[in-house]
Amino acid sequence: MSAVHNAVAKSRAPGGAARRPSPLASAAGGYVLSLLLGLIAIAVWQAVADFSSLKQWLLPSPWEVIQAFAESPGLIMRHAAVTAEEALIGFAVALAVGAALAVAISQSRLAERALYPYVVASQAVPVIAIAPVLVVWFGFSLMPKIIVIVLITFFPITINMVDGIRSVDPDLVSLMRSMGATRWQVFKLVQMPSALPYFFSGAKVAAAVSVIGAIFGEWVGANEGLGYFLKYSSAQFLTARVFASIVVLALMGLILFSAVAFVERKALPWAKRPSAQN
Amino acid sequence: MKKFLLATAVALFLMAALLMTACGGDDKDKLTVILDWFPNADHAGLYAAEAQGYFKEEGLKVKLQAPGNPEDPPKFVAANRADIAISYEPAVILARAEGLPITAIGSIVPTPLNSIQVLRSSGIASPAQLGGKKIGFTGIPTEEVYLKAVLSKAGVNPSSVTMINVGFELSKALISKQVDAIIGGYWNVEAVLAEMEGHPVNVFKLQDWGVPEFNELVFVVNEKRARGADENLRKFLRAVAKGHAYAVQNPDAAINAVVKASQESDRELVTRGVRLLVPLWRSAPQPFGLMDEAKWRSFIQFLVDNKIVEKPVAIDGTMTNKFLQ
Amino acid sequence: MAMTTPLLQVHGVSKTFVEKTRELPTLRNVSISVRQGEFVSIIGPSGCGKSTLLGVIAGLIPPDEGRVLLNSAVVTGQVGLAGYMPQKDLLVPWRTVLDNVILAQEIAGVPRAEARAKARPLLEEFGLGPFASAHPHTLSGGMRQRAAFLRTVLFEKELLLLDEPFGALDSLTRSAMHQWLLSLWERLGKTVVLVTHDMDEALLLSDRIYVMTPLPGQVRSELAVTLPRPRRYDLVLTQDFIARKAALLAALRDGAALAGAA
Repeated sequence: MSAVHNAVAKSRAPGGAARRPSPLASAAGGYVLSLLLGLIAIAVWQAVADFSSLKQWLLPSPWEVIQAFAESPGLIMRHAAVTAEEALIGFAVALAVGAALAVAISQSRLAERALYPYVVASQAVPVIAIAPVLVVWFGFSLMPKIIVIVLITFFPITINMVDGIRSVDPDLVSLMRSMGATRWQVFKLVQMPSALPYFFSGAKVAAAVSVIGAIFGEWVGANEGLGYFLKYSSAQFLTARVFASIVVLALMGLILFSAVAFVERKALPWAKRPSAQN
Repeated sequence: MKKFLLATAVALFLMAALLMTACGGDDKDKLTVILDWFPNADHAGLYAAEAQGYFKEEGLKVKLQAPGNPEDPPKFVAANRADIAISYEPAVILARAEGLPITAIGSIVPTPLNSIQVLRSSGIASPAQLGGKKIGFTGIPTEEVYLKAVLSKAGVNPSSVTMINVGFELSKALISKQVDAIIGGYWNVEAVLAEMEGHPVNVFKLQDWGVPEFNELVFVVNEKRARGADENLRKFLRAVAKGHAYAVQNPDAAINAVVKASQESDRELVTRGVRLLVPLWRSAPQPFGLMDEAKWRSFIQFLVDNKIVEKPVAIDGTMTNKFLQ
Repeated sequence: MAMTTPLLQVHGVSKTFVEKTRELPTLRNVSISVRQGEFVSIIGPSGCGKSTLLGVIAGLIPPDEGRVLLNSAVVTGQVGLAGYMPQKDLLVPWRTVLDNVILAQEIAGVPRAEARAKARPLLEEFGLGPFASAHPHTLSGGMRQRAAFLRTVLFEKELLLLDEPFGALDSLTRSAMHQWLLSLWERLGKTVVLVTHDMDEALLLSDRIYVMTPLPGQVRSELAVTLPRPRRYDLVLTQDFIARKAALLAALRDGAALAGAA
């Protein structure tokens, strides 16, 4: 009796916890590791700033960046809110424009041949080149920022979604036809749902990039927003503020991306996800 | 599918709404002023006027706006997208030569702030020692011309220096020793920035070295408007004059006005810059903003002689003092 | 024997596929007929055009020559008249099993709730009841084929065209499916045209077998399978069955030889 009891006791880790790792531990472990990596990076950064000959105006230390936040949190957040609004609206418009183009291109060979070259060429246009035109036409309103963001972010959405619509198994389309489906029914019941995972892929890329798109839009012409704040601070050698802005921008991109990923998980319950346990 | 249609509809509605806000209201007594650069010491008189209510007294609603790009302001005004812009006399002349319909109506800074700067630690005490050096500039062609004039006066062969385009952040290029000297920096802004970073500089003012005097900062409006009789412009310049008078008497208050309106501005930078400008403003020709026509002519000729403009632009339509008289 | 008009008649169908400059004659003058309630198999070596023939009957592939008649009406090239089940199950991953099988109903405009209600009891019968709300990727191969079959049945057409439905399954599952299909067909009483390359399958399930030659596919011979119904799987071990299989094998070889000689 006691031997069995001992054997059972030995198989438990000290503290009484079961030996088998819970699924939750691996997920939480990932986040902990990420945080750890971040802290190590910050520590290295602090060391480099302290011990190298790089001046404060070139590379502020993490502590100086935190101080920049603490000095004027309201100011930074005010500009951040402006940029966030631009990024969100621009992203939404890009989704609509990108999806509309994808549908047009995928449904008609004529539309494809007519539009595709412009879609691709649009990506080679440097924003700086069209900035004066945008700003003279639209002034410092939201519009130029939206245009810039859409220009930069619609592309992954369109390209991915066209691939998605085209990825439909032609045999499935034949099957639908054999059941008497109209072209619209094929589009609605099969092509669009097929395109959805691809759409989300494109949307995730667009989300991450829409923040930087907002910054470029602000550099075209703005009086507020982190792009304006960043540029002005840089010109005044207030580099800690520049880095503080960058941190906020990174967080914004991360949040927007995560939001899209979250919606994706809800919208695509059938999609297989890579699991650490497999 | 429904979701997509809904999203598209929402997006289109948003776009329409935004388009409407883009075409701003048509308030007769509202004036949009586009600054030449981020709000800084040069604008202390303007911000003082705003803070002291001088614009309001004249019945004006004035909006002071920073540009996205220093080259934008004249274009805005030419396209009637803004009422007034702050620009530089050289830029105005060049724009006129290109056919841009803009006219200068008053000066903020009547002499060049533009200068050549070197690190004091470099030991270069005069432009005569710039032979064989690398000079950073912002890419504006007039700066090449200024440099040539200065070097010629100093007895240095202009082709012995290399000009490097370092963009608009000149002080950084100088401090990091990418270049030996910079041109295009203001002696009350870039020089101060460098000193604040612990790198004092030697300043060689352009007008001391053979460049004819020009107004560094002027107000420009659309030419058509300048030819008209817009009373608001007169009122604006009056309020601006009062603002500068106030700033000369109360520099600290003026500094506060700038920093309060533009929290992104560095207080120390604005303070030092204003203190350097006050003597200039104190001795400026009256009424404040008055421009010297003869000096405009000789500067235009200077640009023509140096082949920056093909032929002289007419004074009429380029500058006018009529809203100051 | 009553001389009623066959449900399905295929007269002299020929089809040549043209790819760039290459011509691929696939069917040559194929004629078959199927009476209501019959189970007919089409057997032949791989790539002999059997699937193409089914596609022509389904209206998906227009023939170069020939006609397809359904209840004496010419329906060549018309889709939506027969329940077509291609080789791949083609269950869409984003729909549950229940929503997959009602696809045909949805296309016909039946409201979802009504279609689902109709499908549920049949899901039970097909052994898929507990999987109604599951997604296809959680089902085994055999279950997926059953779901695809149910989708075809729910199209509510008299004629079913099955293209090698059990080709991708392992032999154990396949024989289970044969048993299942037999009992189902006996209950539903549909008219079935089955394309297969499996001799056991053809003999076990069909009333008649058409033997096709290799490309270009022609009907070489026709075998009547007079084994008594209802049939059970252990039939495959009987002498009678083996004798018929030998005959079928000979017919297939004969067809191949014919094509080889041509």
